[in-house]
Amino acid sequence: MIQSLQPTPLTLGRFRLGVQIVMLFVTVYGGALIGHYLADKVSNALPALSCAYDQENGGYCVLIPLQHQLNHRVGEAIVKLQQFSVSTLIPLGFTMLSFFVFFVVLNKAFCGWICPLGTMQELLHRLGRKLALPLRRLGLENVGKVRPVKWLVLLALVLVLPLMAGLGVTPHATGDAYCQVCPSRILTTLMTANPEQVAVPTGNWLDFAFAAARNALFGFVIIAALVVRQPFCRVCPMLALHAVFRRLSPTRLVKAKEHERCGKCGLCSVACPMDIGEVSTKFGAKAFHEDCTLCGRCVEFCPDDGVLALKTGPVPLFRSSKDYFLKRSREEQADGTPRTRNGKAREASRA
Amino acid sequence: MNTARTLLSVFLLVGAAVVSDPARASQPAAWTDLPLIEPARGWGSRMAKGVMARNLEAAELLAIASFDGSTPPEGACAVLPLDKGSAKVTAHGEGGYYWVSAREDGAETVKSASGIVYFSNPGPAPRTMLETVKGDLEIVPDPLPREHGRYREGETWSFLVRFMGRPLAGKDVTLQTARGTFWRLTTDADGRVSVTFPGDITASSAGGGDHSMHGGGAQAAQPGQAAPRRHRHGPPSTPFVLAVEHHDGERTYLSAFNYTYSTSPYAGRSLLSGAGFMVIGMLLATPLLRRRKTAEKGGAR
Repeated sequence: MIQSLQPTPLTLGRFRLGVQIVMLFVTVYGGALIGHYLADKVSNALPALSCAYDQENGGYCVLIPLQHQLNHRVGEAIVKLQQFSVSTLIPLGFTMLSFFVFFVVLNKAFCGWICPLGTMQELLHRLGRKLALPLRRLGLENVGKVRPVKWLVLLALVLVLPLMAGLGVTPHATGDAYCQVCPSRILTTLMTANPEQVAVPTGNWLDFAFAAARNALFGFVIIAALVVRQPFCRVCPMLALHAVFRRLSPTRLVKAKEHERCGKCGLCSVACPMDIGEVSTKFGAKAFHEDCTLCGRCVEFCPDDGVLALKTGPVPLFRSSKDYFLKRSREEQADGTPRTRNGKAREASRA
Repeated sequence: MNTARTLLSVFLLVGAAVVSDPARASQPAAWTDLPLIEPARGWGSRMAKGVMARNLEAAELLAIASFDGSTPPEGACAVLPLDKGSAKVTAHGEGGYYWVSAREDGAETVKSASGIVYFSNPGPAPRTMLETVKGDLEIVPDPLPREHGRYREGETWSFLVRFMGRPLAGKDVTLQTARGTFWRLTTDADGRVSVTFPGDITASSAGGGDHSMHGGGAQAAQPGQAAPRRHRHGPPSTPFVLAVEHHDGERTYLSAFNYTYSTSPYAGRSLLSGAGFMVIGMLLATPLLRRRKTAEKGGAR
């Protein structure tokens, strides 16, 4: 579909940037258009980090009800064991069902196209490339070390600690442990000119520690994003939650055709903002890795016809092609380094 | 308009039966003489909450759920008998905001108290419920704080004053808080009054904590004043009441709306420290910005 627009300057990258900007406004300021109250929101189980602390937002992140229901419903019901029943799990079931209704359409594209924190990291990285700051890619060894962190964050901060808080084992502040450290809480509220989430509580050591960690993490991420692509996305529990369900959605990255250059040119993995090497070396389902955000950059920078594709079911949304690759490469290099008007890469050292 | 008439007639019927209950004489004095709807002790669950009508003689309580569309669905509007001034409001299937009000219908004076009960389950937006005329003289939040939000010290919120559904311009409105603030405000040409909540909780207590969906913090009551309430895990909060009086023919109407507001978002918190931790995070990331003179061995490349 998008390929038919190739004669125009519209590329998948530009199209995605446009979607990201629109969704940034919907997720951060959308309440002004769709309404003030919770019932007005697009959903309170969005598969993106659209923060409830942002009073102007258009929808809430699924991690909020997930933590609350584990804490206040499941945990507390287990404590009062006689009240625990299947009905206790119904709200949790509805939350996951709502999440899945959104997720099933776009799959992990919520990360690569809609998440406000993902978009801001990407915009910061573009700025870093414009400023000719060094690009730091994670090598295979470091990528392997970082990947398990997102699962630990999902398990510990989103699932176990809220449940433990409901059971009365851990302090109540751990009832939304992930929200306590989520950098999107600061980003989205600051974008509405509200600095209150930056302020750290001084009356309780745990609240203080959580807020200090949140602020330091936010500060680290916004500087790191200038030189590292999507630094927070790599450890985000939403990425892990998406990974659990990614095979259930018809929308996916497909690498069905093996080409003699696969595993050799490596342009697809260089283009990948998550430094996924497997997209170059693996085939079939393994090429659609758990860290993939369906941004489509690997497809854009694959120089061979029909090797990589974004598909929904049997319908190809966008396929790699030599012609598109040549056009796209005139704008920027696979690693995101922009080209000047005469087609040369900007001076940017790659550390 | 039919909805408005229906609800208004239900409300007037509620007020028609006036009782005098000596049992209420034993209750501790309220923090104001104005009509109030307050939480009642002993009743409280996810889908049922007790409320008490204070400072007026009413036999029944009107509870209206938030609803979509122009007509409230069956069960969304309930008339509940008051037992010693108290009644249990039960969510009729959906959560969200419920309007509760009681009315004393005297020969010369009509008093009414209104408030909001919130059930933390999904439910419709309260917009239509608030817009619907529910009594003769009313003070209506315009809008209510969003779920996960609250009225807070220093914030300005709008309330609409109307009589028989028509906005009352230039009307004096009294704001009274349980921490001792007493202000007189005036409605604008559209019948709206802007209320900036006073900083009297922070000024008289050590309120604070993480103003999050789960935070905590200290609180202290001052002699002669009502102690700040604490939502189960939220910041300290204190009741306030807005009241308006209106004369129409031979009768005087007194209507009040009461709810709570909480401490300033910055009470017990340090913005400077927060900015400091953010800078620490930035400094930790700055080595990444340096250009490396030699190719890195392993790791980042």
